[in-house]
Amino acid sequence: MEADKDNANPTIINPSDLPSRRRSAPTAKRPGIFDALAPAYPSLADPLSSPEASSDSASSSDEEREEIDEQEVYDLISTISDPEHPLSLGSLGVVKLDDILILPPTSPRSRISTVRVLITPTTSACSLTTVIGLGVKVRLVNALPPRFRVDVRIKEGTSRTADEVNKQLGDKERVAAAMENRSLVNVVNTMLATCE
Amino acid sequence: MSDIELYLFEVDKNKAEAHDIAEKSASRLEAKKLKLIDLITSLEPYINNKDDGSIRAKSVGYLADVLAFLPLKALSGQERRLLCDFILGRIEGDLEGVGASARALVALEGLGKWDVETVQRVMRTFIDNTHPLRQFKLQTERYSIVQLIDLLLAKYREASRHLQEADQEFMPSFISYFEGEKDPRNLMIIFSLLQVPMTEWDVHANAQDLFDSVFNYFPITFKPPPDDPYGITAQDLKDRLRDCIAANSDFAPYAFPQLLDKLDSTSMNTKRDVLQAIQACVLGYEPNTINLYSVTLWDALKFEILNVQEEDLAVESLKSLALIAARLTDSADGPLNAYLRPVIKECNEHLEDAPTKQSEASGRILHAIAVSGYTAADKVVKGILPTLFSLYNGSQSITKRRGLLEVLNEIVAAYIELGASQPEAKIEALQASAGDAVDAMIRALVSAPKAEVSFRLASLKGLAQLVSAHGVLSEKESGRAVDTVTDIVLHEQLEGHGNIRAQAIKALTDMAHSVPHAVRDRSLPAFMVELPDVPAEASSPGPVLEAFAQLSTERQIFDTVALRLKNKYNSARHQGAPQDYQRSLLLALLYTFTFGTPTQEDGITRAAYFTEYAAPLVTDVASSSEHQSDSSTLEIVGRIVNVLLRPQGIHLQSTVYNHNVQWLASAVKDTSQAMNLAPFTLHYYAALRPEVADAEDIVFVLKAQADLALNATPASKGADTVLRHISLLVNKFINPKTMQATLEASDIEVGALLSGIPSPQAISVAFAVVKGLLIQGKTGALATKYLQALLDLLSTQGRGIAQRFATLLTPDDILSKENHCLVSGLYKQKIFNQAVPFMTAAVRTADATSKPNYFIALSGILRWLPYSVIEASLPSLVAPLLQTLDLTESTDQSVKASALVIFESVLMHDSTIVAEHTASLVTRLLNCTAGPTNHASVRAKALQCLALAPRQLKREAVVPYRRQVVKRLQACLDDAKRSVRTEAVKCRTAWLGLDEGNEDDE
Repeated sequence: MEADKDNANPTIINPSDLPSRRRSAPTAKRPGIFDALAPAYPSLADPLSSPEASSDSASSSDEEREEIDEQEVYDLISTISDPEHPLSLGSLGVVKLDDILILPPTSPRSRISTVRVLITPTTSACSLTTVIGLGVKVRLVNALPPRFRVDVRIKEGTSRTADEVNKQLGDKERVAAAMENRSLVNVVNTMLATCE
Repeated sequence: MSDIELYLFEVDKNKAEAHDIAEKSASRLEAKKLKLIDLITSLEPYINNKDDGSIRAKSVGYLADVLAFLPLKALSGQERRLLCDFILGRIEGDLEGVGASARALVALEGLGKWDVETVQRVMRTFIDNTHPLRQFKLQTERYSIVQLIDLLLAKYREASRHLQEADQEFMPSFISYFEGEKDPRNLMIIFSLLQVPMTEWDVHANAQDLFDSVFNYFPITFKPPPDDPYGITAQDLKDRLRDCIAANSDFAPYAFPQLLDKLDSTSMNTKRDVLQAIQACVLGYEPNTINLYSVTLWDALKFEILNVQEEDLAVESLKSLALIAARLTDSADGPLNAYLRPVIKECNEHLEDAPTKQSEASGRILHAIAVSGYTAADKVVKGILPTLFSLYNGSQSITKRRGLLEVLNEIVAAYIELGASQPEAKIEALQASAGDAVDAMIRALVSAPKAEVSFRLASLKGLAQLVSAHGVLSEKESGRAVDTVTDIVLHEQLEGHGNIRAQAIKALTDMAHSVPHAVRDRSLPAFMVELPDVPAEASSPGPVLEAFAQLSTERQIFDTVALRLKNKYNSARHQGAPQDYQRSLLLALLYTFTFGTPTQEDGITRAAYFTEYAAPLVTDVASSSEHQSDSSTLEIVGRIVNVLLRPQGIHLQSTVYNHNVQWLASAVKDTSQAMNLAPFTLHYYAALRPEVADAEDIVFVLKAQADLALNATPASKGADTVLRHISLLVNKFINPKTMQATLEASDIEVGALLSGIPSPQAISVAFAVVKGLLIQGKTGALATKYLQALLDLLSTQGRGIAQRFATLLTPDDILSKENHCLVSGLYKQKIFNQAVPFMTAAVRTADATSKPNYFIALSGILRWLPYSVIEASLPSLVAPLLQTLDLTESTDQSVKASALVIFESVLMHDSTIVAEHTASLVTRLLNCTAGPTNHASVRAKALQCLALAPRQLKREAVVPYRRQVVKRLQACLDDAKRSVRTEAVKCRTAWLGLDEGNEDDE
C-alpha cells in the first residue's frame, strides 16, 4: 500500500511554524488575563450600554474594511487535505504563504483582481499534482467573491509535468469537464472535507 | 390415558400444557403415587417405537422433563444409576432424542453427584457415539449436549483429565467433536469449555489441532440479528475466542504466525482483533515463549506505528510493544536485550533523518517501551541518547535538532510517568545525559532565532519535563533551567509570531510544582526586580505582573507570591504610585485569590488571609474616604474583600460587620461619597451572610441606595452598581414576609414607582427590585404582580422599557449562592411561564407602534434562558421570533442576535419545528446577512444559522432555495469583515454540497 504513494515520507512542517493571522497582525490588542476578573454586564440603568451592544457599536464605528489578503487566501487553502497523506497542504508545504499573490485590477476601470497561487508538489514526479491543483482551484472559486480571477499554477522547476498541468488548470473548459467526472469530484470533495 | 400419552398428544401443539403434564408426573413420583419402574414401563411402546423416530425422541423428552421437575433426593442412588444406564444404553443404539437424553442426564446430575466412572462413561458415550456434533441439525439438540459436556468439564476436572491421560485417542476425537459448529449460543459455551483442556490438561501433542479448532473462527464476523433475544454480541464471542487463543504457551508456534499473517488484512476490524489477541497472548504465554517471538512481533507491529493507517491501531500496537517489554523485564537480562536491540537500532536509524513521520513514530515507540518499567527505560536511554546527542551536535539544521529534541522529550516523559507510579526510581542512565540535555535546551532557548517557534517550544517543554522528572537534575541544573525560563517570561517582549511567553509561564508553573524552592529563591526575586514601587513613565509592568500572578496557581509558592504582591502594593501606595499601577497590583492580588490555590482549612480558604490581606484594605478605604480613591480601584478592593470574606463563618463575619458598620453608615448617607463608594459596598454586602446583618441597618442602607438611584442623573457612572445593590439587598437581607412593607418604607414599592408617568430612574429601580424578588422566589404573589405591572407597560411605553426586560435574567455574579443569596431553582421557568405566553398573545393584537416592544422584550427574556426551558413552547415562538428578524433600528441589533441564537439551537435540535417556515426563515436569514444595516456579529450569526439549514432540514425542503442562496452568498464572500467572510465560506460550502447528494441519488 505504501509503495503506491509517490512520496511515502514527506517532510512535515510543525503547526506552530505555519503562518497564521496572529503572526501577521502583531498590533492587535490582546485582552489581559485580569480583564475577566471584573466582568461587565448589561446595565440595569441603561440596557443599551450592554457589553455586546457597546462592542457592536465599537465594531460598527470601525466598520472599516478588512481587505482580503494573502493570509486569508492561505487560510482558505492550507487546510485542504493531501490526496495521499492524511495531512494538510499547508503542513506539507504544498501551499506556502509566500507563493500566494494578489494582483490588483490592471486598469482603474476594471474591478477584477487576480489571485495567483503557486503549488509546490512534494516530489517532482508527483502524479497527483493535477488533482491538488484542481482542489485548490475549486476551493478558491467557491470561496472568493467573483471579482477575483483564480490562477493556480505549479511552481516553476518543482514538477516535471508542470507545463501540461498548468495548461489544464488554466483552461476553463477542461476544469469544468474535470468536475463532471464523478470519481474526480469525489477525490476533490474528500480533499476539501477537512476545510473549515 | 397415561401421562406419556397425554404428553405426546400435547407436546407439538402446546408446550406449556406438555410441561404441566410432566410436572404432574414428577410430583406423583415424588409422592410415591407413581413408581419409577411403572413410569419407565409406560414409556416402553413409544420409546421403542420402531417406525417413528420422532415419537422415540419425544418420549425421551418426556423423561427429561419429568426428571427436571424432580426435587433433590426424590430418587435413590440406585434409581439414578439405573436411569443413567438406561439413557446411555439408549444412545449407543439409537440417536433419536439425543438432545433430550443430554437434558435428562443434566437433570440427573442435578439430583446427585456422579462418581468418576459415571462421568467418564457419560463423556465416552457421547464422544464415541454422537461424533461429530454437527450431524444433529437442530441447534437445541446440540445446545443440550454442549451444556452437558460443559457441566462435566466444569465440575469433574480430575475425572475428565484422567480420561485424556489414559487414552491417546480421546483428545483428537474430543477436538474434532465440535468441528463445524456455527451457532453463536453453542460457540459461547464451546469456547468456554475448551478453556479447561487448554489450560489444565497436557495438550502438547495436540496443541496444533486444538488451536486450529478455535482459530478457524478468527476473525469473528458475526453480526447479531435485529432484536436478538439471546443478546450475544460479536464482542462476547471475540472475548471468549481471544481467551482461548491466549490460553496455552504451546499455541505460540501456530498463533503468532497466523495472527501476524492476518495483521496484513485490509480490514481494519480484523487488524483490531489481531492486536487485541496479540496483547492477550503476550500476557497469557510464558515469558520464555514470548522471548522466542519478540523480534518477529516487533518486525510486524512497527509498521502500524511507522505508517499509521488508523490512530487506534497505532495505539494498540504501541501497547503491545510495551507489554512485551514488561513481560520480558521480569526474567533475565538476555531476552529483554534481544528484544530491544533491533528496536533501538531501527529507531536510531530513523533519528538520522529527523524530523520525519518515522522519527516522530520512533519517539512514540521509545516512550511506550520506556514507560513499561525502569529496566527497559534504562536500556532505551543507554541505546538512544548517545546517537541522539551525536546527531544533535553534528547537525546545524534547527529543524533536525527540533525533531531530535521531540524524541528526547518522549523518553523523558516516560520517566515522569514512571516516577508517578513506581517509587523506586532507577535514573542513573538518564542522569548521566541530563546535563547535556539541559545545556542543549538552554542554548536553544537563549540563542536560537526567536522565529523558530517549534524548536524553542520543544526545548521549553523539554526543560520543564527534565525538572519534573524526579531526581534527574542536580540542584544546579534545575536552577539554570528555572533561570532560563524566568528570563524568557521577564525579558522577551515579542509580539505576534515568536512569542512563547504563555508557554514559558506554564512551564515555570510546572517547574514550581517540582522544585518550589528553586522558583521561590530564584524566579520570584527576579520578578520583583522587574516590578518597581513606582513605575517610570515609559515602562509597562503589566505583562510581568500578569505572569507573576499566574504563578500563584502552584500551591507551594502561593503564599510567597501573595505576600510579595501585598508588600509591593503597600510600597506603591505609600510612595504615591499612579492609580492605574496600584489597581493593577490589586487586580493581581485578586487574581491569585480567585484562580490561584490558597491554603484551605476545613475546605474553605484560610481565615487568616482575610485578616492579613483584606482587612487592611478595608481600613484604608474607611480612613481615606476623605480624599477618595477612584471607584474602579474601590471595586477591586471590594472584590478582594468579597472573595476572602464570603466563605468565612458567622463569627468572623459578625466581628467584621460590627467593626465596619459605623463608618459605612455615615459614608452611605453622604450622597456624593456614596456613589463613589458603591462598588466597594456592593461587593462587601454581597459577601455577608444574611444573619450577620442588622435588619434596621439594612433598611437604612436600602433607603439610601434607593435615594441614590432615584436621583441619579442618566450620566452618572455608578448608577448601575447602585441598582445591583438594591437587587442584592432585596434578595438576600429582607424578610420575604414583610417584603411589601419594607419596600414601601424605603419608597421603592413597585406599584408606586410605576404609577403615573414613571421616570426612567423609577423604572430602573422597579426592574432592580423585581429582579431581586424573582430570583429569590419566596414572594410568589408579589413578584407575579410586579412582573405583570412591568409587562403592562409594554403597550404604552417606548422601547426603553422593552429593552430593560433583558436585564431581568442577565447573569449577575453578585446574585449567587456563593454570596449567600436566595436563588430559586425554578426562577427562569417561572419568569418564562408568566412573561412569554402573555407576550406571544399580546403581540397578535398589538398595534404597529407597540409591536416591536414585544419582540424586543421577548428576545430579552429568551436570550438568557436555557434551551430546555423554551423547547416545549417553540412552536408558538417561531412566528414572533421570525418577525423579530425584521427589526431594523440600529439599537435592535442585540435583539436580532439573540433571536438568531435561538434559531441556531432550534435548527440544531428540533429542526422539524421550523421546517414549515423554511421559506420565510431562509429569506430573513439572507436579509440579515446584508451589511452595513446589520452588525458584523448579526451577519455572522445569520450565516451560521443558514449553514445549518441544508444539513438539518429535509433535502427536498431546501433544494429549491439552493440557487438563490448560493447566488446571494457571493455578496457575503466580499463582506467587509473577515470573520463574516469565514462564515460565508462555510455556509456557501454547505449549500453547494446539496448538489452532490443530488448526483448520488441519480
